[in-house]
Amino acid sequence: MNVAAVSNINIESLAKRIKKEHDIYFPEGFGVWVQEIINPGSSLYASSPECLVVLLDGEELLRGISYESAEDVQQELAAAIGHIESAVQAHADISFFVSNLDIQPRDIKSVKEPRYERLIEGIWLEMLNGLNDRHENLYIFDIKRLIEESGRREFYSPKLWYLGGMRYSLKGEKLLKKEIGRYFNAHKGVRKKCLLLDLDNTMWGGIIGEDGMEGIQLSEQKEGARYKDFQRRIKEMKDQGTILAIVSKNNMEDALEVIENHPHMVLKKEDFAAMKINWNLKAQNIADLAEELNLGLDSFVFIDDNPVERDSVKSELPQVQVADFPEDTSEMELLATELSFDNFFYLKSSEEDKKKTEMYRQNAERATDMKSSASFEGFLKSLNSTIRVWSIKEQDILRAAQLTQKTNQFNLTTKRYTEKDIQDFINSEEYDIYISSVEDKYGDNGIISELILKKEGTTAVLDTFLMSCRVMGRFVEDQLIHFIHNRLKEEGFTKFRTHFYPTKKNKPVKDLFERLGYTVIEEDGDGNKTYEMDLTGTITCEHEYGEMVID
Amino acid sequence: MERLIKLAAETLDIDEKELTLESAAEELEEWDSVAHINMVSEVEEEFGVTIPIDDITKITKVKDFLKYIEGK
Repeated sequence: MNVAAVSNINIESLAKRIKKEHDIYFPEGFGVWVQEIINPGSSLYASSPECLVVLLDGEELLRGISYESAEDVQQELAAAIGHIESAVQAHADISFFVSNLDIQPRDIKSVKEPRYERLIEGIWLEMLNGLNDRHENLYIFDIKRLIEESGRREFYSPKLWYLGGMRYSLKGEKLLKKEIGRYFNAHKGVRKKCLLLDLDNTMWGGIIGEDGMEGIQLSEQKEGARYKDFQRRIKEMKDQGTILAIVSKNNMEDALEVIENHPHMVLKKEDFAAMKINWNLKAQNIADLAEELNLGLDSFVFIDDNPVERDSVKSELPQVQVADFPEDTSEMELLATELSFDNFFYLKSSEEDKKKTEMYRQNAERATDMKSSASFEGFLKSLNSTIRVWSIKEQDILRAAQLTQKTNQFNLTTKRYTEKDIQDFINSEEYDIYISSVEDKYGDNGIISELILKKEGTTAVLDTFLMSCRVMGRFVEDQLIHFIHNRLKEEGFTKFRTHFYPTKKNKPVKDLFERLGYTVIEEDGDGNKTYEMDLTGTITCEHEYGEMVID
Repeated sequence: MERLIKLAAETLDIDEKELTLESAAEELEEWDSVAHINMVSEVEEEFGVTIPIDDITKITKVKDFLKYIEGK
């Protein structure tokens, strides 16, 4: 694509930077910008540009004119706008990107004396807005935003100005190059298409499965507002034409409860083209989405607060762009804004763009099977997990009690205990408590599991088995149960009995023991199950990805 | 040292092997006034130093940048 740029100041250095990526024409000398755009036979038009950047420096535009003289200023600006308008009219096939003005206040005045720089910027902007309205092929190039965000001291260089009439610093030129590149890409329609969003600690603070509707952070004021503001920006992106999809490890009912009923939820169910809310591997969900939405993996951008999930997607699906997540979540809104500029930038939204989500949602209902090439096993091994297990110690009592009170999802029997209860178990001959922690390449996850066993002759009973949702999906439970089998066998037990008592939140472990090869010996109408495992045979473990360390 | 040579080579758009600390502006076609100003900017940014405007014309060889990088 051929492009061109003109200016009333020296932009040779900037143009050379742009030249590395785009075929750009810019005129020799810089006082000639008016001639170049007015003259239909100019070399500029001979180069057949599709886009033309008109980058004007406010101070230079008004050199020799007193800012106090409203008439003179008006005349000068109107003349410039007039030239631009005739060019825009004469070349409807070229997209014009005309800059707003930044005028540095230089002269020193007392506070009382009126200043005119901002007023003049406003006069120019008003005229430009008029052109923007009247002409489809003119767009305002927002240099002012770049300057405001980096600051004039960073953006401009007095040294370069005095040396060579170059207004912008190195940093300024790089920012301009990036922004101009965005406009060019937007003109070509080059952008990402779909934004994939996690739910917990991304759309709201906290974990819905653990904290419930009352416990999650999502509000108009104070801390919860950081997520509401984030959602507002995401909604605006969707309104422009970006497709949204949810990829979250959750129970569908829990997630929908928030999406449909939370008073501060900005995004609604209809805003999403698809919702992959389940306990499957995220990379698998994304691969399925690509198939269902009929989009290339390289048109996806993935947002997730969990570095394990981000890395997993990065390694399984390298074509998917994984967004960096801010360490400080007060920057959530900024994340959305930056992503929109970098990946979902629109010069204008057509009616069609606005209806995209609707269209994609309908298409997605024709789902097809897709073979997954994701190597989940490889990923799990690469975590280099170390699972430590030990018999409960005095210093673990508080945490052990807390875990029984707080854990809801991976909790087979949901029995809540106090510190005293735990102490009583320790003192009793009948009970054993095992505690486990997991360390992986990302760090130490701390104590993540607790098992309370009751001894009844040659049968051991699993009173409590719980695990932190942080380490779910990694088959750590398989290894812990395997350890228990071996330990019980050593101690002379022949049978191991376990239970599942259903609650609103522990669906994820409904079929855990079936999966581990246990026999269901009892089941009632409410879904309560009793299982048994014969410890006298050989004991195997199908999924072993972490190293067990028994203390 | 190598960083400086690499930077100069990138800015002037020539091969690193053709540059040494002794390379001078008057010998190299690519080292025109625009490139000179660019090199000043790039050195300032890369090494986090400031080169006063009055000194800029005194820089005639690659090695002249060194005293700003080392001395400060």
